[in-house]
Amino acid sequence: MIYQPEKYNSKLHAWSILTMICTFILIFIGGLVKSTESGLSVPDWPTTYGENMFLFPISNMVGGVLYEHGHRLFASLVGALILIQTVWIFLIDSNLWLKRISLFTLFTVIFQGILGGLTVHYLLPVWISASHGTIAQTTLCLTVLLTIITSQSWNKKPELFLNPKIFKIALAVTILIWTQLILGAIMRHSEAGLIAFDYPTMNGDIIPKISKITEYNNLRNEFIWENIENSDSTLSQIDVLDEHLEPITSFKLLIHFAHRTWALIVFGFICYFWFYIFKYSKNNRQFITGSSILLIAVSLQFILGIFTIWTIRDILITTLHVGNGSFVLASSFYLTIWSWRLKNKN
Amino acid sequence: MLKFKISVILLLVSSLTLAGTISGTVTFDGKTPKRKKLKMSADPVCGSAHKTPALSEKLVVNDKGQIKNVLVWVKGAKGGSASPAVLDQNGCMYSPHVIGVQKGQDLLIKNSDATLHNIHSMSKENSSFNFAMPKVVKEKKVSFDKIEEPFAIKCDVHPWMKSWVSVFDHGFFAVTDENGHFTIEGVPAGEYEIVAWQEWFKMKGVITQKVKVTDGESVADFTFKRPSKKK
Repeated sequence: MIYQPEKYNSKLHAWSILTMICTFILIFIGGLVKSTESGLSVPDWPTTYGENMFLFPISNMVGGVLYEHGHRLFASLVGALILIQTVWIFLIDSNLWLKRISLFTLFTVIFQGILGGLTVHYLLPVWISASHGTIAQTTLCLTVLLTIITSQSWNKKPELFLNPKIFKIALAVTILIWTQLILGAIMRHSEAGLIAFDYPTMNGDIIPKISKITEYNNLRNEFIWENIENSDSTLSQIDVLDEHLEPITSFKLLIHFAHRTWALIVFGFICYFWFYIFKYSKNNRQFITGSSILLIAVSLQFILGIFTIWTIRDILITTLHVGNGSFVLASSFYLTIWSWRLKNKN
Repeated sequence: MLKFKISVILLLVSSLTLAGTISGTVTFDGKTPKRKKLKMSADPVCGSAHKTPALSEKLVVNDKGQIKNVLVWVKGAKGGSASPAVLDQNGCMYSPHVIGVQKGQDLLIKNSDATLHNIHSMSKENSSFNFAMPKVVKEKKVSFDKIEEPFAIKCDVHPWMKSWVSVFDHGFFAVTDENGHFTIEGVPAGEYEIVAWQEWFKMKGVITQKVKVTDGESVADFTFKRPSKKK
């Protein structure tokens, strides 16, 4: 069984919290690497400019190297935290499930590191880069899971139980968010985030048509010429926009539209989840607070997404959109795991 | 009859051996966009290499409306040999900004800066590459096996650094100077299509014109028009 009241270890739990927070920060730094288009500023892996990455001089961490090499160093820290956590669990705990989950977390972080190396080696192919982004979110969920399972409250006998339907809704919400993050990762790494500069319309249409791609490209080119390239633009991201201003293709149009549309579905489901909890679990403070945080976070995510377009992919706003997306997934995953724990008195 | 035969032979021989020069000026029609200042604060070495702020080279137009860095080539030409190709990284900028090379020709890439760069080719026909040039590595050579339209070679450490390379199977190409002027010498006599490419307008916006080359100088002037606003 996954519960073990007698085995609560406050230090292991604290370590798990630290690991989870660092994983979240790592995703934010990874987001910065993409937002600043620094992914290939260090062409070799696992070395950095031919040197051992841990011995690479700080004075050489300039421009894109600051983000990419910083990401690699912080990723090594997270890898070490997860490795220690796994060894710790194997040494002090006999719970098979906990061991399996921690081992799987270690596997994902190693796999994640290899994917990071491969994406540099193969010059950022969309599918490897998008997988790297998606598995990062999965690793974060696993660190959330380990934090929950090693907590004192998880190992106590629950006092309040939840309507089992809440688990089903929470699970559906988590799957929807995870799907949205995959769509977002594919869109981001195929440089399809700026195929339209307007919202809620896309180049003037609510529902874009593939047959109008030439017209959209002409419209968009005029906007690019007048507002981005031919102005006294103070956009700090101007130098990293080039690939994002390439012509629209049908794939880019579809993936961008899918991400926008799926956002509405996710938002709708989270609203429903929040109402459901308020209606059927008013007395559960953990879920009232948790679902409210989730609703606030997804609302913020919506706003950040819109401003990512309106600010023409401002580096900070875009990265906050990525980071907050992880937070939305982690919050929903937290509620899913707890609703599973509390769904049945037996 | 004999005279006629001789004159035909002479004409054939002369057309095979005659070579001319194509020259011209490339200008910009419309309000000239202001060149942006490059923000080099990300690397102190780059900023300190310039006494005055470095400006973007995406569209360089002088007071007379003449455009620098326009790549002009003779389409479908055969033969010719290009001068040695060197791409230098100096002051965290590429020099030259636009360069043509021949298939199989060595492109010498230099690092004159006291900082590191990565050389990232965005070629599609040729294999793309990305390699390191730490400040101690001063030179490296690359070459391209296939002809290719202009593609970027950039540095991801310093995102403002971008140059353009095009690969030809002949040596008849040139890049305009600060007066928008170009000269292509030794072009075999014949009728050709001349292509002018500018970074801002890219392949979609290339301008072409037909030129007849004989012994002497043929002129091919080009004008890039600023896109008009939608009414």
